[in-house]
Amino acid sequence: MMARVRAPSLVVLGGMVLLLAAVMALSLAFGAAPLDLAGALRGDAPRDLAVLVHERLPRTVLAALVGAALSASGLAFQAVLANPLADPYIIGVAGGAAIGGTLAILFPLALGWVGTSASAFAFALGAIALTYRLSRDRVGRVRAYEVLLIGVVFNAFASAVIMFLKAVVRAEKAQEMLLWLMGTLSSDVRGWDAIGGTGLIVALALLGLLRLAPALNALSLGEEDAASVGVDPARTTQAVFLAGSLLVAAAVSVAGLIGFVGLIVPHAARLLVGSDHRRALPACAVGGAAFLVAADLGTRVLFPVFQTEAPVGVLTALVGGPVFVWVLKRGSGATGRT
Amino acid sequence: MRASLLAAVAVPLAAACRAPSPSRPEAPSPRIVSLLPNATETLFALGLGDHVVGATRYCDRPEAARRVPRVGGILDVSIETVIAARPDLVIGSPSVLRGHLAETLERLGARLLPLTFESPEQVLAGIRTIGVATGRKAEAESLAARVEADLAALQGRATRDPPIRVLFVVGRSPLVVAGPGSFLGDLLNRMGVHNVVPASAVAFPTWSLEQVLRADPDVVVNGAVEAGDLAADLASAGLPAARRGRVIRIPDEAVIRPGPEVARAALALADAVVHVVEAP
Repeated sequence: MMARVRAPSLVVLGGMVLLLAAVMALSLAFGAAPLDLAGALRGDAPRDLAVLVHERLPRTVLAALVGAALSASGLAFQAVLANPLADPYIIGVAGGAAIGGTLAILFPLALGWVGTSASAFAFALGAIALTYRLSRDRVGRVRAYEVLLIGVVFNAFASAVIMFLKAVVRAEKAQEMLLWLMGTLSSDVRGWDAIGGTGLIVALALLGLLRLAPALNALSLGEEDAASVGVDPARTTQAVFLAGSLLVAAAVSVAGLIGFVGLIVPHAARLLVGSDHRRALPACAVGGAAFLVAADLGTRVLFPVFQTEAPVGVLTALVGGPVFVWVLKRGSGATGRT
Repeated sequence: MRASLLAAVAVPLAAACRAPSPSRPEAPSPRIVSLLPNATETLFALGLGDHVVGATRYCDRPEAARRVPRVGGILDVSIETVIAARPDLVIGSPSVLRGHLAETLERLGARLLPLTFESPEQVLAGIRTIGVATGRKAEAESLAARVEADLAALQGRATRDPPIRVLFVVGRSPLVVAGPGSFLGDLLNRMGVHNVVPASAVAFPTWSLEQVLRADPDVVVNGAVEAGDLAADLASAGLPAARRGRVIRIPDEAVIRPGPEVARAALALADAVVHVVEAP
């Protein structure tokens, strides 16, 4: 039943890859200031070349990685928790990463942004591990509603901690915290080593999720049905949690908290290619990447208007919300679902 | 053919990569990007306004600084826009001039000048450092001397016996006040008044109305940007100072901006505090 590959979804997937390539090209060509692209490539405009190579290229790659990671983990958590409202931040990862990043900003260990990223990554994984441990029942199964509840409570707890820290630190530090928490791709994480590390984690976790896709499909039929086709629900859940957590932690550690992407892209992807995770997962990763690259391009192009780069999370929500509702209504109309 | 093409690409690239931050304080027309409002104000005071090719959206002093192209905020800087301004010199706070931004700008041959303006001493040091970096040493010395003279005049300017008890409000909702650890607390201390805000770890603590009533200052200085009618609010809350008309607006905004005009503005504030207390 799930072995059949529908041709149209492959076409859609191919189209999305092309779209991602196009958006990335636009992201290199346009930005806050005009660029002499031809001159940069010929070599007689070193400044423009520097902007291209050291600013726009790493930033575009980073946006694509973060977008793919958030969307794919959103899809994974929605599947394994059987909850369409699950977004990658809901399982406590937002709070954990926020505390980790904030502490690193307040007490820098002379590691700069590497320290912030590493600290956010460690705390995010720690928060997920805590949520996971607390929400298992006696036989080791994860209870979805407890994951969600504990995640929400932990995030609220973390935001209280952060608000307290914000109230007692110097204004400039508070501002720095706020910028990071709002989610930004203009941070200092632009070195190729940081991007390489993020890319490696994201690629491995995505491959892991892709391998788990058939098991996720089985799991979505119910735990007993899954067990009858040889899928161990507990082990699958655990593996998906691990892969998803690595994705979110990697994304948050380099870009702060960029909301909305992990919630709406999975839904949009399922509407476009169906809910077979072997299709939906790549669609999610590619679509999420294209979406965030486009949103980041938007913040840079709009710089002359606002004299600042609006937080990219604001743009993803402002543009993504209405577009998502449109896709949802159109999708449900087309398939006759209510 | 291929080699020459390679050379055409490689030579400028290598030049761009290797350009050692050249020290050229006497450059005829340095292009300066300022990522600090205090530094922008200092640059204009040194007659370098025409050389400022990029500033933050908070750089609004002097009036002419508002016409400088914007490159972002103090922390949210658009690197692309800074590079497009082709700066020789970039001035900013140490927390901004680091990491990726610093590396990219230095690679392009721009000199970086990390400065902090959080006390009168740092203002003086900042003026002199900018003067040296821009080849305006003499102008910087005379500006610094003027600030030093104002600071000397400020010392004990409002000292009375018993000391005048002052509360300096910097934010209205919430009510944020200047503690002794802040640069405003330092200015109050220099002018010889008593800051009713006790020492604490927080430079600018948030207060409730109750704390204001209990502290019962002789004078409330209103330095909040959006204050509403602070005097009327405090008067209706029953604060004696407010009922006696002793809630005064800062005479010059420069007092809340540690820049070249801060000492002069503090002098005006000291006189205003004394005037409102000693007015019949």
